[in-house]
Amino acid sequence: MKPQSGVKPGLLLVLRRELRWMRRRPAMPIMTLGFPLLVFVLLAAVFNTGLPTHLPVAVLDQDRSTLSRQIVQAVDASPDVAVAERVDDLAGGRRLILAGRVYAVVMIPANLERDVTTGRRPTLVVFYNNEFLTVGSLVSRALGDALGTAEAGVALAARLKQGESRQTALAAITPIPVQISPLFNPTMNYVYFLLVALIPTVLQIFICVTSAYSVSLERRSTVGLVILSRLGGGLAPAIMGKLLPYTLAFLTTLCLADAVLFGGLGTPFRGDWRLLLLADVLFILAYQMIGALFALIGRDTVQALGFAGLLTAPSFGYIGVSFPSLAMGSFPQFWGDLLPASWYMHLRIEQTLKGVAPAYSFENLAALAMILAAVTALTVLRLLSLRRARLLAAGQGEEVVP
Amino acid sequence: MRELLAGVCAEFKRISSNEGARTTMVVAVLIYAVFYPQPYLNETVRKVPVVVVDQDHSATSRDLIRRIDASDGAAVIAAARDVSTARDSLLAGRASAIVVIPADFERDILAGRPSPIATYGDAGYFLIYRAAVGAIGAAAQSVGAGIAVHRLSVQGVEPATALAMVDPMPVTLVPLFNPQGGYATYVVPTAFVLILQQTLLMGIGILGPAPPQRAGGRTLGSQAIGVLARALAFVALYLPFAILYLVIMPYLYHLPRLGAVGDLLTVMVVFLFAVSVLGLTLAALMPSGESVILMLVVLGVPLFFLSGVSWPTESMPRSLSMIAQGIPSIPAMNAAVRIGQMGASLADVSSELRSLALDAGAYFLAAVVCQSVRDRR
Repeated sequence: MKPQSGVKPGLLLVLRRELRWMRRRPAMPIMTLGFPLLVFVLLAAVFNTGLPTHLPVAVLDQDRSTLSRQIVQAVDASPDVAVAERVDDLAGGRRLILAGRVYAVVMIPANLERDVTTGRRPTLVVFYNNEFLTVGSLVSRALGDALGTAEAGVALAARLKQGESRQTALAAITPIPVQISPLFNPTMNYVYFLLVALIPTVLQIFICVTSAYSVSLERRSTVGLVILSRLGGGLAPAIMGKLLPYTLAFLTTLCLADAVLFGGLGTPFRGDWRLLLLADVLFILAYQMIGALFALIGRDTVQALGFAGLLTAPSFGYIGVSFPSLAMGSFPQFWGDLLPASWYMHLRIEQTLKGVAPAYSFENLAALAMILAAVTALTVLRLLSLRRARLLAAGQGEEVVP
Repeated sequence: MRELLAGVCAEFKRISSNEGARTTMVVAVLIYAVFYPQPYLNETVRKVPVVVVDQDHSATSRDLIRRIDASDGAAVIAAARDVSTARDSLLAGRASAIVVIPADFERDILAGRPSPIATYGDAGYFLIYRAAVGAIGAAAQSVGAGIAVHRLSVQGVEPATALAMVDPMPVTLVPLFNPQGGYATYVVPTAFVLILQQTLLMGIGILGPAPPQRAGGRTLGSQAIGVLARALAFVALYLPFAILYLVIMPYLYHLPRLGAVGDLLTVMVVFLFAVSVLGLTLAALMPSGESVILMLVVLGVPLFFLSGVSWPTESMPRSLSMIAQGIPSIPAMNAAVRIGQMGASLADVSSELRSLALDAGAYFLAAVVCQSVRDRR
């Protein structure tokens, strides 16, 4: 594939070649558009219903009194949980939890009503499955709230009986009420945060492996890289022409996914879209460069893909969206700071859900740009050293045959 | 039988002579065992930074602040003059929650009026928010309960009776498993099962479909023996990794481990066999080893969330969770966690075992058919 006579080498030539090449390989449109969108649809389907509701719990009612029935009703009335089973002993409740049929057992002790009225302070015990942490915390909070309300009702009734006014009695039960305002997430819907975070988490894997794949195919033919730089008439236009079609394809995918997320699914968007778009481009470029670098370092395509997978596939943990960075040890914090996705994610959450003033996000943008610059520099250095090695191998003074 | 053994040995030879497969099926498995869990090893979120705005400057407000600071979940990092200064440090990410104690806080308490405090928490990060708000709420409640009991005893009520009036029916929440609410305990064993599946599938993809057999050996029966031999070799290779991932690493990371190792291994053998024959099916269907890697590497994240461990199956579309049972990792993640971390027995995970056995049978047939079709072409 020699440069055609009359066509000047440059960015456009490399671009045209890449587009032709992409058309011939079905893997490329699949990996840049179809497959990522399919994965997003899959994730949206998983989190489709929003926060889980009516999580099944079991009740062990050893009292069977008016009060205990009220308590069971209070539990069932909570939107988060639903009384799915009644058991006769704790062993039965434990079996249901182990079989995965309920997430908690509420134990109402015998003589509850009698003990409450005589001031013996009987205890309501909730056994909940905390191994499944998300569900465990939802269930324990819902049950704690429902039972706490039931307790407050008992305390209030006792005080009213003694002739206290309703207002005094309420003040006596909770002397220091805490007015809680959840900032940035007034509905406490973590599904928005999960989806906002998962889209780039999935996309960075696509970007990095696709880029590693396409560049390593170029390396596979002994002359690929040489042709590329000839066509480009220099290193910079060659790299840009090679990567640009994918940048645009991934940007389209990301914007499509975000349009559905913020437009169709009703996720609140409170940020500055221009800043977000700028960060989108830097984020995509950074992972393309990393993928390209892996392709230039890896021995073959499989190894390049292995590097790309190792960096991107486990990165959800290191980004610090699920388990926060502030609670991590020093190695994962350091590693997380090296990942473009971490900085992009902070900025993305600030400029979509949180609606933070752009000035607060500039630090994240600068870090993202710095990582991109560093990876680009490494890629160029690696390319130069590969070229030198090839020239040496070809013998001094001899023309390298394209 | 001899054919089967020869097949197993031949497969081991293929693995050891293929560098890509060796790296994926041995080196990567070992790296992930150490690399993947790192972010989660501290288990819980502690000492979330909180800024307080104390507009009361009384003994009670200082007591409340002291209790918040002493809690496990929160740490008071600064006192701000006003709410806007505090809000600024929250926006800049230095603090994750603000507590505002209004003026006349103590006076209202002494007068027997409700005396509210306000909390603003960064609700963008679930675990941080929960730790901070939990700690602040508990501090307010304990200061409040002390005041209520004190008030009653001033009125001449006996302490025991006073306590019964303030807290007549206490609620105790007992976490049955994972008592400290550890994140690694929750996420690592599940993810490990998925990593076993993904690396094994990729490795088989790199090895590729079996080379076409000799002209005489194309019967369906010998094809089945060929698939069985390869799958057994993969199970034999991965069983030690399953022990490493689900027994040795949890021990080294101090994760709770309750169940019987025998039960766990039973599940793992069925799981690894199902994954192996799924891998052989994919290898016969996909155009190249690279395409298998490309497909699998991006599926890790959705497969993790489909498992029902991190997000309850009850709130997924039913059809989706049914289809998901066809992916071996999904029933296996559930079964492994329930046996390993919760101490369930094989009987407790019988429905997961059934799904795994179904997967194994179906993919075995699929692998035999796909390999035959491929050979014929």
